[in-house]
Amino acid sequence: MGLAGDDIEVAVACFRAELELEALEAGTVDELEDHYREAIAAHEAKGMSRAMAIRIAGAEVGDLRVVARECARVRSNFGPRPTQLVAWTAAALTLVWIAMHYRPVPFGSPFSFHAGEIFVAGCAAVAIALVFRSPQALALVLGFVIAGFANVGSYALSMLEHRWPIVFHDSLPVELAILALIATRGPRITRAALAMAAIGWMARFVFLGGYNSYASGPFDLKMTLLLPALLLAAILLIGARVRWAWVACLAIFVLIIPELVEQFRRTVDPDWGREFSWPRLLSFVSPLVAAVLAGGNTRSLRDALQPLRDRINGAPPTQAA
Amino acid sequence: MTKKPERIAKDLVAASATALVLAILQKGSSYGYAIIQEVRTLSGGELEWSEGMLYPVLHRMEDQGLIESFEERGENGRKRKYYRLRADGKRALVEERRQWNVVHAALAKALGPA
Repeated sequence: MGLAGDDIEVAVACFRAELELEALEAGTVDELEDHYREAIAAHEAKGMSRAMAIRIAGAEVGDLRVVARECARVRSNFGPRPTQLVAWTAAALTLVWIAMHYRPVPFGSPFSFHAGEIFVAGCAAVAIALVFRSPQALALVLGFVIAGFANVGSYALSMLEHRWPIVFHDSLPVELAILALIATRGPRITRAALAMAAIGWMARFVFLGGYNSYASGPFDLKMTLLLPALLLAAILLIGARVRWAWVACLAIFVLIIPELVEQFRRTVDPDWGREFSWPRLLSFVSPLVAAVLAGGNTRSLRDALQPLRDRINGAPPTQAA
Repeated sequence: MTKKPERIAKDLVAASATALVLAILQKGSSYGYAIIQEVRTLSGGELEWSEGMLYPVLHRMEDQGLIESFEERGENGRKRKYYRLRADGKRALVEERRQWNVVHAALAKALGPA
């Protein structure tokens, strides 16, 4: 910030840029900016020149990366910063998942080759970005949301015109991971993207035939998935605590297990998609676990509803986190 | 030559942070910079809180439901984030006070007059 001279706006811009490197949520950056401005004003009021006030206020704050890292431990665009243990667990689980998909036999891959490569590379990038708290993580997650839309689009096109290939035909776990990854503390655009992805994802189950490779068991998987999926989307959208998102994710997979067991008992169809295998199940669960661990969200339902309560009580509005 | 007293240990600063924030907010809503100044004044300059320490504490307390934030425009026209106690925070303050009194009384007896 030494380059700022006596221009407060330049100093503040530098200050914010440094904080944003840690992917701090906008509210926290604004709060720290206010602190910085107040400190400058206080020094000026004591008779310091503006340039000196800027320099002293900057020195008082100290190393901004350290401040940002401390703040990101509690809040950032991706929820609380994971502890080292959690971060490395997430990375390890993601690696397990990647390894599963690159193993040609005997488990096969739930993705077509092309889509598998894209998603494996993408998930690895997201995991790495989250573990290292890269500001690019948000862009990567949004990229995945767009990939989710491509998925829905390819389904729609293949329904209309059979010569169109279904590009991402087995991406359910990835889509779930996307939903879990996007913390609802993020900017509005992230929440909007999450909502659109959730709606598109559910629309696929309702209107486009759903997850066909698993739809032949005793349960109508489309329906068994729909309710928990709705629950998960609702929980993520209203910003409930991460443990409830966990419960919803687990509920989805508990509902899948009987279906997979039934597929295993039949074992008449050599098609990989109809066989049950624990590694395959693990490969479905691990990205979710990784995503929830890495992108955990601690915002409580009570806080999410606080603005509404303020309005009802006529209290000054609390800040929407 | 008198030796300059050492700074208050980090662990002690961290341990007392929640109680101090609760006590300051009991007097009325406040914001980050003002809280740091208040802590400095209360401690006669012995306690120097940094931004990297204060804001995570405030955010964690907000997540725990002890305090809540709201925005108001300051005198410069900019929005400022204020904090105030919630009912859980008032209850927590009662408990913090009890615990610190116990610690203080025990230390006073153990250490004797200065």
